Amino acid sequence: MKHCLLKPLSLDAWDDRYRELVQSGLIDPFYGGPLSRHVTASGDHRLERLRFDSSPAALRLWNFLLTENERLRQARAAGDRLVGAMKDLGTVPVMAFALKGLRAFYPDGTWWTPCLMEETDCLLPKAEALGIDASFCPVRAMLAAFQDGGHFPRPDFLICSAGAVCDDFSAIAQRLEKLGFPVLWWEIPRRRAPEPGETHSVLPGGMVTARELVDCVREELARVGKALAELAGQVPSDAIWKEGVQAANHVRGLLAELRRTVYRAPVPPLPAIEMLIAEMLAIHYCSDREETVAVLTDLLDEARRRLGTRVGVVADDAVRVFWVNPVADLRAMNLLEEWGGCLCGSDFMFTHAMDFIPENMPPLEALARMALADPMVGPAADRAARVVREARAAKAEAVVVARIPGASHSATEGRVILEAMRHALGIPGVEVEIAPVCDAMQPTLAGRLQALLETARARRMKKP
Amino acid sequence: MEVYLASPWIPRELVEVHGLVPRGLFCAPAFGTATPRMAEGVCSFAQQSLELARTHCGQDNAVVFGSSCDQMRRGFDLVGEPQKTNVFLFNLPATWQSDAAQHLFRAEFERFTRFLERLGGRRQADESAATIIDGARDARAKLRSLWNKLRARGFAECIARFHWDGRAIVEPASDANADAGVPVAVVGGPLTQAQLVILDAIESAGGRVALNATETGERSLGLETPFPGRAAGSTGGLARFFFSRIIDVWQRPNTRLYAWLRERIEERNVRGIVLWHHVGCDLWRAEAASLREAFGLPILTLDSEQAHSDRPRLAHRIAAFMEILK
Repeated sequence: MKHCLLKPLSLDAWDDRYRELVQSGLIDPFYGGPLSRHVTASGDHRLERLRFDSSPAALRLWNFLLTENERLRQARAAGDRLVGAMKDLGTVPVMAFALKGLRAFYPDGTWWTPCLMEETDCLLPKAEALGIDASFCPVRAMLAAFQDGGHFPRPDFLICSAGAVCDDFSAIAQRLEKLGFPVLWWEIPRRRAPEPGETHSVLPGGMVTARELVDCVREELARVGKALAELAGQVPSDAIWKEGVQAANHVRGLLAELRRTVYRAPVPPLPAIEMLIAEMLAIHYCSDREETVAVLTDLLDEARRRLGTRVGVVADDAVRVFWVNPVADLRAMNLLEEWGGCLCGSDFMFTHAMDFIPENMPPLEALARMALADPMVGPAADRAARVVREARAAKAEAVVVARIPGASHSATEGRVILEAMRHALGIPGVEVEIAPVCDAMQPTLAGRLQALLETARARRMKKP
Repeated sequence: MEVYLASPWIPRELVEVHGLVPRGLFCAPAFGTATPRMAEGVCSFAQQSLELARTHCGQDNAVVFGSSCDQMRRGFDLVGEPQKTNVFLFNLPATWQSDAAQHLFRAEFERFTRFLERLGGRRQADESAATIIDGARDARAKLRSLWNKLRARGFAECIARFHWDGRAIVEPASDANADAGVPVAVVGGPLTQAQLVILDAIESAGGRVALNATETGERSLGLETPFPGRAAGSTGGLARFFFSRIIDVWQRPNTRLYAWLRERIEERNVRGIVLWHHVGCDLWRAEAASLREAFGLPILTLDSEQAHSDRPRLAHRIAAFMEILK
């Protein structure tokens, strides 16, 4: 029996839908409202080109995402201290949110602002004027946002991981410090397999690394924890960090269930773009841990309901695509579905932020292991192995590696991942570079993605 | 066996102490002479290091990469299985002010020792080891003192020779005129033998390289450390000795680099900075604005692509820069 196809909505159509929902008794959260207000109030013009899921759960998700800066300002006004965590994508916020009165966010997230505002914000040219030109990753937008103070509120405290991180990010963060924003740097060493006879530790996600690296990161996180606790006016303790780990695992559990429900479904019940945003909530809870739980719960309920009633968001014959790396332009996720694909799995560069943090060991030890499971901290081959494993489980028919313009890791990792996929699964793959606003390159993108999807379809016919 | 080191911060003395022959990969005569097959976004230095590493591994030598930048780390990943090949990645901590960074360096130091033993190296007696370490320290000190006694190329070649074979051989006659030319600093990543033409071009245009702060220049000799080899007989002491001499752009914060530069730029009355970087090197390229702000000096940025393929333009740019400084 075929699935009922639920079409996505344009921004205008969402306004009509919003009125209907309100009339039928929709209870909006405190950050709720029609989506189009983000265009008029914040200049998020890209929303006019995006297609959205039509559920109230998706509305809540988008409103949650698009009000983050506003909510951060409100939190500060209410007395909270703001922590800007940079680069580690998922570790420091677990600790910050465990302390009363602290709220963490990633200034790195500004890399989507030029996309959302269709570059009307001029953050990228401003970053260039500050010495970081277009040959660097779009995360350079963060630099200009710090300087002009018009996007996110300036954090009270900045923490950045250093060591096995992207060169472009490290360089931008260093530039930030030179511009007068002090940074607490902590070491994340490159992950490596243990040598024969060397003591080892198992990491979330199943990788194994040398014990001494875990010790190093644990020691560093203790230093970070001490600084955070000082900011919060508290005394750091394992009990505090344990609460942070448990709360993180609650979020991760919901997300794991959502991913299982959507990615394992024969036809996905939620679109790719909403899944990308939902996954992002894992890294710092979009600055509100409790609300993240509510948002994810709504999405999961919606996905289950649709699954039960055989409602999908793409055609039954959509090609199942495993996606690697986040896209600088969110529109790319819409295009994948418009051209006949669907998302069946992902590695948006923060798989470690979705793995369960072990609770059967001291919390800083567990967090150190989690930090070392970061796919960007180790060899591309490790990342490729996980992509292969998850793509196999998701019955992926094709893989897309999104190149992040100017990112140091993008120069070589795509080839490693695609080769591993071809070798292990024999499925086609393609690497595509996606600019913050990809309209100009859409014909090229269409050529490459549509060819990939056609190749994957042709393989179906060849199978006995 | 020869052990090729891709970074000057990997302790070459330790290789020698184990009876093996250390060689600075970045000083290899072949480095920079070929046009590498470059993928988009790949650092040209990392790419050439990778190709030389493959060649040397094929000749039963060993190659040691440093983890100091993403491109070199990922280059190492592409050489082959560490357990099956003679390649090693030395984890150089980016941070340097914490105990954890010190501990990490020490642990890597010990792991490197095990690697050298796996290659067949045997640690010499403490007395001999101390002689090697003290000898290298003295050679570095001697080379440091030559900054104003040789012309730019001669000084760079002396340092390259030291990284290549450990010798600090200097021609007895001084060939530099410390008062001639506009004093400039050349700051940046590795300047290979094939790229020393840049130094010549600066001098030809009326400049004088008062500070070669590239990764293969005076900076590569490291900070003078108070620990003599004999006193640093313990593993921990030796690790501290080697860790404390690193001065580089990838350190976080990289204030140590700026402090080192400031001392010399002021002392030597430097009037302009030539920022040298390899194509694809984010770490150095990002420093242009910070260098300008920190020292208030004009900056000329040069990259390895220009040095390789467009020398007339390179010479014109350098000449124009010197005109401005005059």
